[in-house]
Formats: sequence, structure tokens, C-alpha cells
Amino acid sequence: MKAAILLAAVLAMGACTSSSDSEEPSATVGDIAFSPPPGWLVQELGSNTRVWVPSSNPRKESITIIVGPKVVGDAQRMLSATRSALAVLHDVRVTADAPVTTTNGLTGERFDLTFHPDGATNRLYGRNHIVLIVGDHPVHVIYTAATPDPNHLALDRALASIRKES
Amino acid sequence: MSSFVHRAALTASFVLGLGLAIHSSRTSADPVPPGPGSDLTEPVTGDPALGYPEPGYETGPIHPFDPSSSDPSDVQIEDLSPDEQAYVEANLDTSAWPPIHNAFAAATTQAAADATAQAAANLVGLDGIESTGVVP
Repeated sequence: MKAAILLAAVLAMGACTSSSDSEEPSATVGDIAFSPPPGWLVQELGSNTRVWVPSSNPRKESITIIVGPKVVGDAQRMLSATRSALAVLHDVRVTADAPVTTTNGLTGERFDLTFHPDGATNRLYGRNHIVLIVGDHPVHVIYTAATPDPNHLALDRALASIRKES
Repeated sequence: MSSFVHRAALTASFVLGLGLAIHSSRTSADPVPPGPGSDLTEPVTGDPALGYPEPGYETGPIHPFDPSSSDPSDVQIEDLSPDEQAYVEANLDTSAWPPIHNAFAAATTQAAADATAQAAANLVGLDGIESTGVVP
């Protein structure tokens, strides 16, 4: 009886500590901070680039955050250059293009597109490329997947977490 | 005492004379800029160069893509051998040239577009986005 009560108490404690209550790990590149989706694994590609993939990845999805270099000029120059840069992708087709504002007040532009990656030219990948203007730097949040999540849960979560450290 | 004074005077006069000789030789070697009309100025003769040919030697503007006018040393096509005539006549047919020119023009345009896109990618830190984040 006592063991059953004790076991029930332990299970109740475990149920209380859900992933949403635990402190999320956050990453910082320069003075740009963001929180990746919980349970995703990180790969660091250089000092300004982080790539996260889920531990179980049937959709072959990833979220990449790139803090670009300082760009001289106004924000429109960064947005125009990002739009032009999309042409390096093979067979790229931009299906949507709209301005975006995050919950932290950062503004930018979102490009939804499809393309054939290098080394996988027989498979079409979907990408949501959001470029945010943070000071003089473009910050790219790129969701890439062979089978994109229609709800964009992980992408929206990462996007909402991006903030400039004071 | 008198011999000493005599020797001193003799030495002083020698030094003075030597100094005067050096000074005069240096001043005589200094270049004297020739004044106008002096013997060292180069006289102007003839007509100055005007940048255009003498009358009768005009060639006119150059049109590099126009056929040149007939030259007495030109060989008439009828005077060529049959093989040479066939070679000349084969090169007269330019109907196959436009597709070649168009292909080069398209390739050049595409290369320019690729370079523009790559330059934009470098500007905003998107080097290698073709493969970044792609899970095979």
C-alpha cells in the first residue's frame, strides 16, 4: 500500500515536470539569442550558423539559423539581396513572398519555395526562408524538409524565440 | 718670429688662392638656363603636328565590319582552284550561325545571373545554402 502511494507520488511528480515547464536551452550567436525546438539536436557549422534536426526525423526536416555579416545600407538592401540569393538554388520556385513581424517585434520577409538540393536532384524539397533585420545584420531562419510540416510548429517556435540580447 | 710670420702669410695666401680657384671652377660648371633666343634653344622649324593627315592622305573613318573596298592585289574567285572555290563558298553560308550565337548569348546571360545571385548570397551570409540544412 505504502509502495503504491509512493509510486503514485513519483508518477505525479514526473507528470508535473513537462517539457513546457522546463527551462529551454538557448543558443547565442553574437548578440542574437534564440531557443531551438526541444529535443532537437544541434550541429554547429561555423561561428554564425547552427542547424537543428529532430532526433527522430522521418520528414527529413531541419531548422538553420544564420547570422549574416553586417550589411551597409538600409533594410531593403538586405531583403533584396536575400531575394536575389535564392536564385543559387537549383530549380528554385518561390511560391509565396510576404513581410513578417515576430512576437519580439523583429521585421523581415518570408519566402516559401521549393528546390532540388545538391546531391538529391531527383527529390523536391520545401523550404521556408525567413530573413529578419536585427540592427545591421540579416538573421536567416530556414526550415527545410523533404516532407514539410503543414503546421510549421517547430519553425514558428524558433521564429518567436529570436531576440537581440541587450 | 719674422720667419714664422712669413710662413703664416704664405700659407694663408695659398689657402685663399686655392679656395678662389675651387669657387670659380664650380661656378663655371653650373648650368645656365638658356634664355629665349640664346644659342642653346632649339629653333622651331616646319609646321606643328595637327593630328590629321596631309591633304590627299586622308583615310576616313574606319568601319571594321564593312567589307573593304576592292584592292588591285585581290584574287578573283574565278581564278581560284576548285578546292579553294569550294572552301570560300562554304564559308559564305552563314545560316547556321544564329543558333550558335544564340547559345553563347544564353550561356553568357545565365552565367551573369548566377554571378549576381552568388554575389547577393555572399553579401548576406548565405554561402552554401544549396546544401545547408538538407537532410538526405
